[in-house]
Amino acid sequence: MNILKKATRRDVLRLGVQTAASSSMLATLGTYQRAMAAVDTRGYKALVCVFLYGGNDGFNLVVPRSSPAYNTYAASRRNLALAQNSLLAINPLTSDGNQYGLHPNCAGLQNLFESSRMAIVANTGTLIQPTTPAQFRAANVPLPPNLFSHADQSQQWQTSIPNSIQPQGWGGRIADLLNAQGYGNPNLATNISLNGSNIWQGGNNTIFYTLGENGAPVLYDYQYPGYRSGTRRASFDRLLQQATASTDGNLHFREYTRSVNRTIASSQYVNNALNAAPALTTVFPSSGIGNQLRLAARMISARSQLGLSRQLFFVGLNGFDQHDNHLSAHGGLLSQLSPALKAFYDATVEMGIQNSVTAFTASDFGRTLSSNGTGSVAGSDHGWGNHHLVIGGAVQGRRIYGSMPDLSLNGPNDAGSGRIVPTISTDQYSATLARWFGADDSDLDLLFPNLRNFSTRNLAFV
Amino acid sequence: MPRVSLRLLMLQIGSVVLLLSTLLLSPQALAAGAPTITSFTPAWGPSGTVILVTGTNFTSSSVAQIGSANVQFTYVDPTQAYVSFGAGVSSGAIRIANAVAAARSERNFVVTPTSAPGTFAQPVITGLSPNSGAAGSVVTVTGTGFNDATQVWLGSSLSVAPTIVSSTRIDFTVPPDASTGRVIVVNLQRAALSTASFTVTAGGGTTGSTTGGTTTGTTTGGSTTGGSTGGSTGGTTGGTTTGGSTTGGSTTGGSTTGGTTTGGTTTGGTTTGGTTTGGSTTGGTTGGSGPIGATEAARFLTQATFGPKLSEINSLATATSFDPWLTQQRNVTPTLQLPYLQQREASGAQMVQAERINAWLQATITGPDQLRQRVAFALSEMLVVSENFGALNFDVKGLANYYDILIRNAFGNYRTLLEEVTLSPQMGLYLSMIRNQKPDPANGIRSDENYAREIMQLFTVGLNRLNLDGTPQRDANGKAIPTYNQAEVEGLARVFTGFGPGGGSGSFAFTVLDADRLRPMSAYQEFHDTNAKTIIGNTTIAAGQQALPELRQALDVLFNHPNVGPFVSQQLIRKLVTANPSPAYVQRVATVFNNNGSGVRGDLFAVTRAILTDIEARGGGLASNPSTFGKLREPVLRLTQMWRAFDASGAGGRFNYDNPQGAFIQAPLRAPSVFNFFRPDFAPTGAIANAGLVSPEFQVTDEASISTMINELNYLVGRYRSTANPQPNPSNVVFDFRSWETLAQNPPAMVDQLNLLLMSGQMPSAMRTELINYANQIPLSEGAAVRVSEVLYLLMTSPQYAVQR
Repeated sequence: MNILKKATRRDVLRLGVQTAASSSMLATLGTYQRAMAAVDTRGYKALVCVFLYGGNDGFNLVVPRSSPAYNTYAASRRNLALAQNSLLAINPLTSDGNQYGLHPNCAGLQNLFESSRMAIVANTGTLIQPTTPAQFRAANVPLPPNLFSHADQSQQWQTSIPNSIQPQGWGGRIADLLNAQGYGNPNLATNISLNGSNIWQGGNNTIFYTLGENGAPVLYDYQYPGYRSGTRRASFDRLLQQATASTDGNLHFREYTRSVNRTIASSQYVNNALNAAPALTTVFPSSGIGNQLRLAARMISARSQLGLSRQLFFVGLNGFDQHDNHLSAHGGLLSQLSPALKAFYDATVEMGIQNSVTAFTASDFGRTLSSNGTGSVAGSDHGWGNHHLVIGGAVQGRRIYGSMPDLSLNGPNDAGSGRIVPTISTDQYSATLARWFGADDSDLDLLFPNLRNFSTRNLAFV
Repeated sequence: MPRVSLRLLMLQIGSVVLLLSTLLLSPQALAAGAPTITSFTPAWGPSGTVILVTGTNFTSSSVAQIGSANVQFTYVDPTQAYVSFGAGVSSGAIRIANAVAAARSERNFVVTPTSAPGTFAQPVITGLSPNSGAAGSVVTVTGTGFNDATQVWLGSSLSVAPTIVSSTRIDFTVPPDASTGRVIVVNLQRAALSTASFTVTAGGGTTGSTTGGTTTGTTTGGSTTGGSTGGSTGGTTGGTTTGGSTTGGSTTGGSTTGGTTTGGTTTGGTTTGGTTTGGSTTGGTTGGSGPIGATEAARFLTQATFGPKLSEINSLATATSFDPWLTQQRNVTPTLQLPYLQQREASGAQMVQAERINAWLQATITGPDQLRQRVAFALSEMLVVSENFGALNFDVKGLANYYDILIRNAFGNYRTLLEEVTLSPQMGLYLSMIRNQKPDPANGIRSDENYAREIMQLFTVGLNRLNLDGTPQRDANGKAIPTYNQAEVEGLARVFTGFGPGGGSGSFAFTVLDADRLRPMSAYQEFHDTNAKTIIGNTTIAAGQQALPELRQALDVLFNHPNVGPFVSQQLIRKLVTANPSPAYVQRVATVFNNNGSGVRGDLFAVTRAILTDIEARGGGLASNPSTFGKLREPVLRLTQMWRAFDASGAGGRFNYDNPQGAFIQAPLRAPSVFNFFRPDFAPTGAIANAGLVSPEFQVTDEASISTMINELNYLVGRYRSTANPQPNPSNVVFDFRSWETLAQNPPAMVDQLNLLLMSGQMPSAMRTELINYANQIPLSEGAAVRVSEVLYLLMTSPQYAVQR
């Protein structure tokens, strides 16, 4: 399906006027029915970005467990190395001659991988064009600006446009184009964030809608419209209408007014939909990431009520920037992540929609293989290439895509200190996901301007 | 000139007078102004300790004392000097004198017998003599364990440089702003609280003569001597003082509004264009002779404080310059958190993070040092450490002490601040500089890059080279030019090696002992990398150096990088005034950062003054760029503004509101990461991003947070004192609406007052009409306070209120 076929460069800049902010404040029956029809005829798909803030240590998530590869790993990581016998064995259908395992706290992910519901995409990171360590050191090829900086690298992951002045996420640009194709719903944004502000979901004109972990809080005067016989609600509404109609052109004021309108328009709509949606019995772990993914699952279960047939979700987990106390802290985060992702997949199975929902990880960067301290202060610093996970029924799972890097310090993949130069670009990774979501080949160049620098445009993991 | 100098010197430094003849011979010394001491480090040590003292107007011929002993003084530059001492010196204030005058440190330096004295003595107070007296009188405190004392407080007022007479006696002078309260003696770790209160008596020769002027009249009037001040100063000052706090309602409410405010607000403020911009432009820009005016005073105070009070607006409105207010704010005693927490602990309170939040709310809602607190809060969002981090989860006093570093240095020098922050155990833990050690190639260990990277990216220079006006420099291809490269990060990472728990020494302390959370980190030379390093700007750090001097050298290099002025200035402007300052505005402030006019770089008071008095802040931006000027109000500043405007309080002066971030997103030192609650360069998708502008607070402004905040406001406005219910639930923070009840009988006057206090007179006329109509629908039989509460809710939740401009 070509979701973007009518889009031109001009459209990318121009289209997407159908924002929630310009919508009416209440759902109309006509809109709702039209949206329902869209669900019926065009099927449903959801893409879920799981952002691991701070730079997840992928080299301790997927680890060689057979010798001699494990020995190379252990020699580089020293006091950051996981014990060989602690790794959870995985048995990929692809083989490079080595055996691999997952971090010991990732039983849920092991289960997903072994049952072909999860793929590993090896050594992925920000690039402008294919780059070797020698080229990096000589700086004779274009490089992503501000490598190893959290803010810049997480932005490039989410935008696929290096050093963009106006950060627009590729998820947001997809939503721009979906809206232009009539997939949008004036009552609710296509993009839903369960983790507050992010770059990935902001498009040219698309605004994303943010839900708290516990759903959409309804304003007191809307929950209790009879308060003071409705007079306060009426005054509140009139003040908001005055602000909306105001000729005051202050941009901060206008933006805030839009935000309040969107809050009111969407919160009741979402709550009504969630209340009417089928309940889920899948149990999610009680954690921040568990709560976010549970709410994403509930929003998927409410897709008919919400009248959305394409949705992009953003969830996030903080704390991966482990310069200290690395082994313990990383293990703790993975023990939250793994069961939450497993529960999310299980919930899509419960809804019978697992083939239409794909979740993927993203993160600032990988980490140095080498350690920066001893004892409790042993940690890793900001790296580059990293392993990533893609989960869902549509995923060609139980496979490792790309090449697992040589993990020796100063080895063929090392930019220095065990900062591994990526062999797959984030553009290739993201474009493969966008293609599954419906973009065709020509759309991809609009979404990922540097994709043309890479010969493999489709990694075919989904 | 020499005669004046002589008199000053004799008056102020007594025993140093003998050196006068030497000093007068030095032309350099004659050229300098009066010295000041902003800070010193370390805070304690045995004989032989070298103390870095930071301040202003040091000269090569300055002399130093600790207590009453003359000690060695080594001149570095006008803002830095080393003081060292030998045997026979006792704890006491550090004094530095030049030819003009002498300065004394606020805290005592504590002389300890060894370099690792373990714990300091627990001070105990057994008596006060006398037990009452006026400001300026000397009080003798008897007790035990006073050898290590650094400060004496009377209630919430710090007494400058108390004299440690012996381990059982300490003398202090009653501070000018003190009110009746208990005496607290603080050493570096512990505090003692007197069982009896010391009563501050009014008047007396001292207070009378010194506080004749308007400024101090306000202070004393507020606390104790309301009657006399009101009486003597009559209409203007009396009205100002009492209107806000005590007598309020009946008479002054009427007269003040009538006289000062309404003229400006009602007629002008309502019709948006006219008064607001018009009023402020004339008030601020042309400055000179005319009074500032109420709306401009309110606008200024909204930028400079945690929210204006009516008394403050009225006081400032009649002034013709902001400088007296700025000077008063610079000189007022800082409200610190740690001494308060120690006082709480001494009286049995559990040290939980809520205590720290309580201290912050007390300071921001009721503290007299509003500007300092506001700047410190801005700094806390730039030099971020956070409770949301394993090693700091329970470090209540340590985080309070870190915040005190920001408070103490808010008007000090950025270089000093940078060093105190760098060596603080909280930053050491948060950005993993503590226990960072030289590379160990045999075991494959590198030095930790975390602090090296972030001190450059976030605290000093940023990623790309800047022009003085904050715009990025471009290379021939139009690309931004990075300020440093990876190799320079690795070089700086090796500079930051060998710093471990404060006060300890040896391998066990470095690698194992938990850090003393109240002491700066100490150097452990054996863990420091002594190889040469290359740091930012291809600067070489020579091999073979000691850890601390080398760290200082590197901080000097960073501090002197041309990016620091525009980088820091732009962020502070964004926090206080406007999200999108013009390059010219940034350049004017950065120029002051680079040189405060007296040749000092990094003077944060001068920077703050430049930000707040700039033509762009004072009406120029609003008039010429109305579509971009201003900023979305920081969420927690909405809370403080509202509570300050209505004199909110809790039982016993406490503010039991433990989790401001629940609805107002922010709380001091509770950011989710070193990137703060929101980044300074965040732009929301849409018109703002498309225009290439930023609006940082939108990073935390979304549907979920808007709903949560509005619903919390719904609860908060319902918690208030009224005539009908003067003692609501003592565990809550409550507004005091009693003084508003008269005004609430006249809704237009009430709304105008709210407009002035909360919206600086910028309320659109349609909104004013709506609020008046709503108030009129609430019958007075329900209580006039209900009108205040209800209208306050609508105002605070409106988009019209949301932007500070």
